[in-house]
Formats: sequence, structure tokens, C-alpha cells
Amino acid sequence: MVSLHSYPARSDDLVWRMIDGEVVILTTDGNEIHTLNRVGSVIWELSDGTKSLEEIASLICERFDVSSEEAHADVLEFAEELSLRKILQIAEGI
Amino acid sequence: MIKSPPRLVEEVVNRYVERCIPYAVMFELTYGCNLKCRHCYVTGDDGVELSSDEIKDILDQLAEMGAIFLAFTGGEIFTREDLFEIAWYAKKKGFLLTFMTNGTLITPERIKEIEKLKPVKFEFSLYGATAETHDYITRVDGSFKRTIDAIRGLTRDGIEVTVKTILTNSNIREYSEMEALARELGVHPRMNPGLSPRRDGSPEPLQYDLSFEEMAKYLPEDEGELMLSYLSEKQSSRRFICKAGKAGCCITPSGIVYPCVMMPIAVGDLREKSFKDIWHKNPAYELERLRSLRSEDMTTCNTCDLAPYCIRCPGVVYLETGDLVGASPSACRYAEWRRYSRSYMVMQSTDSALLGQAVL
Repeated sequence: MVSLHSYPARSDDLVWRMIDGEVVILTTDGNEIHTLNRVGSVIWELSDGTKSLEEIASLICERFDVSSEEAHADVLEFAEELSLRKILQIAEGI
Repeated sequence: MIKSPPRLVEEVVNRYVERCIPYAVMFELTYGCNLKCRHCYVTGDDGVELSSDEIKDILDQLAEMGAIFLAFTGGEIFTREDLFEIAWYAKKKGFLLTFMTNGTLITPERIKEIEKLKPVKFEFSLYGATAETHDYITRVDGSFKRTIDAIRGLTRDGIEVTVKTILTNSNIREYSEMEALARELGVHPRMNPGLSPRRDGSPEPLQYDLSFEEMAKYLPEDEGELMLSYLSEKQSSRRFICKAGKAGCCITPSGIVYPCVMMPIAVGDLREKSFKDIWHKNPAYELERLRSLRSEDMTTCNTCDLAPYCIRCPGVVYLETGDLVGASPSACRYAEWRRYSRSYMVMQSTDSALLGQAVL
């Protein structure tokens, strides 16, 4: 279950590049490809396993003109979708 | 927030092409080689080889630019003692690696290291189904056995291997046997005609090229269709335009940047300038010209009856004639054969249909 207290981390089984502010993700066998939009790309860069989704949401608020409710909803949707696809690992905070 | 539709790969590659970001890089680590293949296009040393540190610095630059696919080629890459040091560094920088090798220097210890490294692709050059033919082409006795031993060693350990064969007048008679050998080895065969002159323009390798008669006699009729489906551009507005100099490039052992491995037009020296300078900030005239080429600039080829059957490689044309927009004699010959084999297939299927009607 993903919550604002979860710590997202990028999976080791993929490679990614930032192209003009948008992230392109490939699985290490080169068979699957995903792209992220600008907000998703920022969340992705911040998902290094050291920040909770709540912390990431407040950084999103600072960078984009969105309310904290919108940012919370965005980071939760992002983390749920990417963890389902196994390209993001989710650890629970203490 | 995330997109993953099936046509996304094409969309992403187009994005790289439009923005001239190197998506796939061929890195020639050395021109040193233990074989002396008769048809080889490499003309030898182009200067002092880059050191491990210089290569790592270039890899940092390429990763920052957005490059993803990285192929190590040569020469023979296993003649470099620091190959694994470089490959591990590249892996950690997030490149999807391809190794291109003749396999003769792959020892059991190296197989263990390869197994840990897990490159995405492992491509071997194999030039015949028998030692007699392969060793004749490589001019080194015993090379066939060593290559086959390495392939068996890697496939036994579950590594996916592709075997690439350039079809010549020395090995075309073994086409079916080579297919059978690939099946027995459990590898993907990729057999194509397509010799080119040497990089210095010398036509010497072309004496081994296939004649129309040899292609008609030995190649399966559907081979031409398969090649067209893989390699040709379907949209006529983009026909004869490739990714060289836009999303693809080649780096030589001494750090010279070419738009493509088949296009030895030096567009910069990585010992003097950064990759970004060479590729984006101050591109050479030749690079800008290549990027500005449109399908309609190839006037001879665009109006040719053979155009729908043609896989024209700008690099090979350049090596053959020195003219990037002119016709390629070898591409014309291969296209003639594809047109012939398609009409043969249509004739066969018409005969079968007529026979079917007659029976009914």
C-alpha cells in the first residue's frame, strides 16, 4: 500500500535518460520503454529512496504552481502506477 | 504521467532524431585484431588509442547527452586488456551494451565475467559453416574452432548470441549449412550481403561481393522481402534517409567522431573538443550537410524504378563513389535481385492459385 510516508526508489533493473526535461526509461533487456511527462520526470529524479512521497510532494509544490492536495494526489498516483509496473520500488517509512 | 504504448519506441527514436541526440553509439575500442579477414573495411591505425580514463570521460559525456545503446566494436575488442573495466563502467553509467567480436580470444574465465556483466547483445562474426571456408576468409587457421567454442561456451551459460555473417562469393554456397549450424548452436543468424570498400576508398573487398547470379542461385526467394521489411524506410518521404549523424554516431579508437561506422567523415576530435561541442554547439559543415539531406535530394535514386526494392546506405554510397546523394552500384545490384525474387514469388503463388482453381 503506497502512502505519503512511503519512500520510492528507482529500480535497478532499468536504465533511464533525461531528454529535454522528460525521462525515458528502458528495461535492461531493451525490450520495454516508458516515458514520463515533466512532472513525472521531476518525481522520478527525486525518487532516490531517501525522500518520502510527502517530501517529494512539497518539492513539487515549490517547483510547479500546484496546491499541496494536487501534489499529494500526483505523487501517490505516480508511485502506485510505477510500482505496479515494477519500475519503482516502495519502502515504508518508520 | 507515464506513457508506454507499443509504438513508443518509434516515437522516442524520432524524438532523438529530431533533436539530434545520439541514441546509439558504436565505439571502436581498438583497430588491433588477431584475424586478417579478406573483406574487412578497417584500414588500420588512426592514431594513439584512447586510454581507459579518456574512454570513461567520453562515456560520461555520452550518458549526459542521452545516449542509451552502446556497442563496443573494433578491431577485436578482446585484444584490449581493459575491456571489462570499460564495460563495467559503461554498465554503471546506464548504457545498454552490445559486444561485437570474433570470439577467438574468449576464454572460460572471460565467459564467467561476461555472465556477470550481462551485455544486452553479444554479436559474433562467423563467415562459413566449415573451418575450411571461415579460416580461408579470416586467413587464420583454427579461428573457426575457437569462434564456435566461444559461442557454445556463452550459449551454455544462457547468454543470448547473434551470429552475423557477411555473405561473400566465398561462403554463399554454404548458406543452408550456415542456417543449420545457427539452429544447432541455438543462436540468431543474421546473414546479409553488403560488402563495402575499405574506409580509405580501396575497392579490394568488393572482389568478394556476390554477383546477381549467385544471389539468384543461393539466396532464398523471401530473403529480399525480409531484408526490406527490416531495413527499408516505409515512408517514401523518408526513403534513403538514415539516422547517421543525428541519433547515431561512431567513435574511433583515437577519439575521432564519425556520423556512422560506415561513413568515415571526421566531424570532430574528442581529444580536442567535447562531444557536445562537436555534435551540437559547433557541428562541422559535413555533419550539418548530412543532417539537412532530404529524400528528394537523392534525385537519381528517388526516381528510379528500383527505389521500392532498394536499401541504400549513405555510408556505403560515400565509400563507393564519394558522393552522398548519388546512386550506389552495390545497392542497385541488390535491389535488382530483390525485384527479381519478388516477381519470382508472385509467379510461384499465381501458379499455385491457378493450380488450385484447376483442381477445384
